[in-house]
Amino acid sequence: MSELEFKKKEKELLPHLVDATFLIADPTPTRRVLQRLLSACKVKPSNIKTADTDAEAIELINLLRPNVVFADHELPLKGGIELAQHHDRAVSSRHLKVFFLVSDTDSAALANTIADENIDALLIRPLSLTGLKESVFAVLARKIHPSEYMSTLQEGLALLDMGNVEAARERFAAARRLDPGPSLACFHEGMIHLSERNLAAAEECFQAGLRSTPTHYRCLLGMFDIGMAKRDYALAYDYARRIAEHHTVPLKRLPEFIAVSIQNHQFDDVLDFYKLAQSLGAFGTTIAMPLGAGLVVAGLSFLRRGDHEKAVTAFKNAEVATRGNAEILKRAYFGLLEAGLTKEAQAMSGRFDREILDSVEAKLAEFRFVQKTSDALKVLHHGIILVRQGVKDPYLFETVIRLSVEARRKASSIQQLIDVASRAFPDKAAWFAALAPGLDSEPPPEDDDDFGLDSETSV
Amino acid sequence: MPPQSPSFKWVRDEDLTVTVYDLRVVNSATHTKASSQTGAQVTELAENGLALRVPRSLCSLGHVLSIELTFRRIKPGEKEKARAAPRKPGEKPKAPGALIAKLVTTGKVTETKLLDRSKDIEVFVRFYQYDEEAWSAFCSDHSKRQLRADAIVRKRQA
Repeated sequence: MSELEFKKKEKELLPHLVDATFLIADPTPTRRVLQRLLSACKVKPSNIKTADTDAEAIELINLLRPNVVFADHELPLKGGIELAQHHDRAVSSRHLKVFFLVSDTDSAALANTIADENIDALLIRPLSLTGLKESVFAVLARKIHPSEYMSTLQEGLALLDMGNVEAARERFAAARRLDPGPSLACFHEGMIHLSERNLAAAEECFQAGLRSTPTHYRCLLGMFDIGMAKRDYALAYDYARRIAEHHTVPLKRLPEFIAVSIQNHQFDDVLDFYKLAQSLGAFGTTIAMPLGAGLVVAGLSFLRRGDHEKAVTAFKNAEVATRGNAEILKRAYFGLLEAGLTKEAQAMSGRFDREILDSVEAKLAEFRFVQKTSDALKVLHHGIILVRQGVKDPYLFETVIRLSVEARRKASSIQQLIDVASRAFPDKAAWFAALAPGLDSEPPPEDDDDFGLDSETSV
Repeated sequence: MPPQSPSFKWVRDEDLTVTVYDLRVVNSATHTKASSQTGAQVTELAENGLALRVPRSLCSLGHVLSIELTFRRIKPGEKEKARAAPRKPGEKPKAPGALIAKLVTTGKVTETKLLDRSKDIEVFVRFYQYDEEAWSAFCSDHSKRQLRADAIVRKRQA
């Protein structure tokens, strides 16, 4: 294959790579292309390590703290993005620290996601040696010879790494004076204020960054965080939308975006968030569980407004996202039962053990469906069967007592119901009694625990 | 509650659009075939050839391969739509998405390399009798994908 030629500026960077250490965590044939690039850069072979899995790569990062990592996005088992987080923690920003992710996918959503993880570049397969060299050297040039502005920011970040917050703040403030568009410096200074809960000062910094660059991603995200910190969810939602409008939704902030959409009753948003996570195969626990829970909440809201199709879609998506997590999906199951979507509920029921299928919640959900769709006598019949099965719920008791009064059942039967309800909820005894005013009480016969149902209400 | 603008979208199709390639290789002597559907891959684009990952049984050193390589941009849902589109019995589904580059060429296997823990090999194919301009345009189209990704990352981190 072809020889590689270096431009003058690239040649000037080569001496900086002599003592640098490299890790190639990519088991695919791409590894060979990367090795050829490093070989052409005269990197010593002993300074290049390779790994086939994330476990091997993590071990090598801990041991050698490599300056430059190339990682496969699909690296077994956890993938390159998690490895980048590990590298970020393991190697100080005082040293040359570069991370490249290699991927077959070139979607804007993935490029934005990796940028949020401080990954320096996304290298797209199939690679060409010349194209690879240009992408790698463009990043190295920025890292090795940063502008005065960027170098001041890097100093600030290194000071933050060491815990010297005041010196870091001073560096960020200095950087603001070095560039006509210092949004990134504003952001970093704002983040210090935010971590100190000085929300007014943080907001001032983020807004200054946005005055300079109105769509500056990190400052918009800073304002989103201000909204969250103030519990001003309308403000957070507004900035979340601005981020989505000018960039893409940041995957790592998806749980917060879901929460903000739900706080603002924008349940349809959650279906879009699912689409994003699905396209990136991002169903790790940190995203899958909040996403699944959000989809269930959204689905229940769709059920309430009668949009059954959308509700079923949301629940099915929740099943995929959570890989059938029963704890999250049981609310969806109860919702389907309550809406009378028995077929859909049955399709989901295979996820659950008997404890959930026979639970009080499931029985009450069915009862609420009967209540919505049947005449009073059928509701009463269903309710009394539940009471006889030992289901204890104030709403159930209230309903059967009221319906018993309306149906003019025997006073003794009603009294028996009130007694059972009062024993279950002693603090509500007076309230249950008040549901049947002027009840001409007659003592119930001994051992009569069928509440007179069969004799009075054959359904 | 903030108002919802009807044109607003949390996730735009273009953000999820991906480029995929379809590779078909035929050994001119043995007529053995491989394709991306069966796991064949392009592993490197070079100035005057390609590196491919193919099954060991496809070819040996010195063999001539016919290569067809197509790059397409596919929006979310287009794959499923293409698969579900009505077609005559025996007819293959139409390729989804928009064609962005296509290369049809032949080349000679100049090097083979065994891949660890795999039934595949990596072969280096040098083109001959090929349209240099078309190949250069093809590579340039491909490099635009890299430039686009670089621009997104830089904008987000600026």
